[in-house]
Amino acid sequence: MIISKITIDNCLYYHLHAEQTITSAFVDSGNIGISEQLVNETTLIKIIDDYSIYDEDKPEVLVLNFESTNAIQNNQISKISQLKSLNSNLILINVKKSLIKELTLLSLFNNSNNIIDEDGNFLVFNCFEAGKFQVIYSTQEIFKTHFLNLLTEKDYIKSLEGQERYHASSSVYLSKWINIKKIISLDREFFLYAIYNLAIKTYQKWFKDLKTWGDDNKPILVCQNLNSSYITSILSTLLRTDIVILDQIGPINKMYSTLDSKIDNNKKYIVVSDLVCLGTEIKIAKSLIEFLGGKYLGNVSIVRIQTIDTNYRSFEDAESVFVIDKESNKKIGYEISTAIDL
Amino acid sequence: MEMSNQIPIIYKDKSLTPFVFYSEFLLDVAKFYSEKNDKENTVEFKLIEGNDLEFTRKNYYIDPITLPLLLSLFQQLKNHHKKPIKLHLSNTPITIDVLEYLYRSQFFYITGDNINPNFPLGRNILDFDDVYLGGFKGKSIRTDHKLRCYSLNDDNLKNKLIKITEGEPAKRDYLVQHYTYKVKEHFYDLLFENYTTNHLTNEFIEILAELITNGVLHSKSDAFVLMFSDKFKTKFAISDNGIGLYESLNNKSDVGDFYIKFELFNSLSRSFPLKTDEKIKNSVLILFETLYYSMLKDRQGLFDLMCNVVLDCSGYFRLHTDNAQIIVSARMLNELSKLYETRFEILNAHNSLLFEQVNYEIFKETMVKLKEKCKNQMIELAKSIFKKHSDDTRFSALRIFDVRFKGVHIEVEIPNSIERV
Repeated sequence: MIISKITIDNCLYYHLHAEQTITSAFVDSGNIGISEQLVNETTLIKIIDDYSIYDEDKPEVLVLNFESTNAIQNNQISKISQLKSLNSNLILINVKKSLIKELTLLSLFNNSNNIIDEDGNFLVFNCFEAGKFQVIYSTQEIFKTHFLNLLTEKDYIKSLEGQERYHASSSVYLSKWINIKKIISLDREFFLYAIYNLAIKTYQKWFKDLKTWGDDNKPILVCQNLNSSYITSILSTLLRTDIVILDQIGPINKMYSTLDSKIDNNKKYIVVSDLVCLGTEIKIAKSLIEFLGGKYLGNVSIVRIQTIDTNYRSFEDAESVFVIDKESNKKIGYEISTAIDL
Repeated sequence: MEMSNQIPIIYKDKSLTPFVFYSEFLLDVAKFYSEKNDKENTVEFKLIEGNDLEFTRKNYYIDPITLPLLLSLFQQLKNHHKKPIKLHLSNTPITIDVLEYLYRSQFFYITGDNINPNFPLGRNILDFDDVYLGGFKGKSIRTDHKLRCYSLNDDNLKNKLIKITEGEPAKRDYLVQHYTYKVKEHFYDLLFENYTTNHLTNEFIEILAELITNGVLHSKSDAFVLMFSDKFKTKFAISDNGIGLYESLNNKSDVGDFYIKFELFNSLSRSFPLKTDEKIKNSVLILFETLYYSMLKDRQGLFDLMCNVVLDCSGYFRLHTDNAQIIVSARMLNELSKLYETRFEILNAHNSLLFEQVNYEIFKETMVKLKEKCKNQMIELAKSIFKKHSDDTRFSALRIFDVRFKGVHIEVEIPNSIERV
């Protein structure tokens, strides 16, 4: 299974670390989640096999994204050479200089159009002697561009009319409904990539400073509805942490009496959602966690609607992989309104 | 059974280090066999020397990286006698620390008959009474050293390797990947939960996986591995009791277009300056031959690993086979840096061919030159080591031992404090 394959314009992107994480989390036994830093043979073979299916309609440029990769199994230069023979316009992005050195690539291809950052790492490394192509090297941007294309080009956004417009938990009317369940079913691989990206962001924000992976102080993920439980279960595998299920907080509230046995005093909790609109469900979950003595750290979601301008609110406790803001909403057309406006 | 059959492993106030193992302990064992001609007489060991009921203060130490060597030896003896070797234990206030230490390193799980999957599989190497294993002080639950045994008989690896038909490199890649995961799983605490080694985690994983693969693939035996870490350094020891470097090189069917088997070996042999017998001379020369072979290859191997340890991680790399050991460290930085540059050129030449940047004719021309250069640099290094050895053996990079110890034994020591660039 390849999760990170994205085509934008004439470029095909693969993200090695994302593929490696999936290889080790679901194929091999020794899962260390996203703290895996070493790309191994299986992952490279997976990508070669996947790319080999292209025949006539080959993308012009093949891009390998090395973001978060710090090491590569020895003697894998032959795999890079295999990919190069499949597409001579091979570009590596976000590669550490130590990896370029280990692979002896600089003495093979010294292209003057390489883009190097202040630490000497390669944002763009062209595996050909001369010439250049327009590629995106920001992992975030590649992901977001593709997500937006997916939402607008495929039938994932449904326009709401009449009774259906009423949003039960927040008492507002919505113009559009983003069908996350449908994305999970139809674009399963890409949705896994979205969860992978969410895991990376969650790790950066709340896990990075933990002393060790076995820390008791590790935040626990809280899921609060059906879609969120799918996301949480994968997220917890990637982050190697525990889950608490607060079932049915939204959209329709139904309380279970056993709640207090699930939340531990003084443990840290992160609420996981599929989509955050006005954040009502998050607030309910937050109140429950805090009432029962837990410490609420923040919330993570795949999609978040930026209802308040960032100048007024920092969203420090919120993390998401796709934000619907003024810019991206131009293509989506999401509206929140009340009876007063209508 | 007579007491004299029992060879003590640890002497009081004297740490059992690899050096003591090679130079003294092996001598004790060899002596036993030369004195006892009676084949029925099997060697037995006891954990400590002396009367363990004495309550006077005595200290017994064992350097953790000696453990794989001990296991390797015990396994050879077990294979020879076709039964587990008797080890006499005792649990008294003076032995309890060393006993607990061995227990926590999983020594007794590996050497015994354990089948509980939560612990390493027992290899039935030693016969001991586990009634002694208990009443430990349990001073700290954290384990800072762990012993493991790897074998192609585990995880159905033998059959999986048979299915790989693309040749030896593909088998190696498969095993390296397999052991990358095993190493992460088995040494998880040391690799990921140890703050001081965090920045070197990837290096450690790569080095260990590569060495274990070398151990099990070439030697055709099991490999015993220990990883140990304290505030200042991390050490690994990998020991097998297989066919050794000479045979393993001799058995190779495809050595590439440029390497000629034992070329350096024969050339050094003609001008070997040290006065030793033929066996010792051969085990010294095969060390250089192996590194030379590794340097000419299109794939990264032992030589690159050694450079990684010494040049990139400022560590020590010790390679032992039969009667000789070479200690590679920053002390031979100059020679090593030169060799490393040549190695880089060689790899580069191979890669240029791989990416079809040059044709075979040009590649061949380059390689013939590089090979000569490489050989001369190796000869230079060997000669300088031999000279230093005849001047003063104490500071020599070469160590020669009277008793032959079969197999390949590698120790790696890396300081934790260095900052990686």
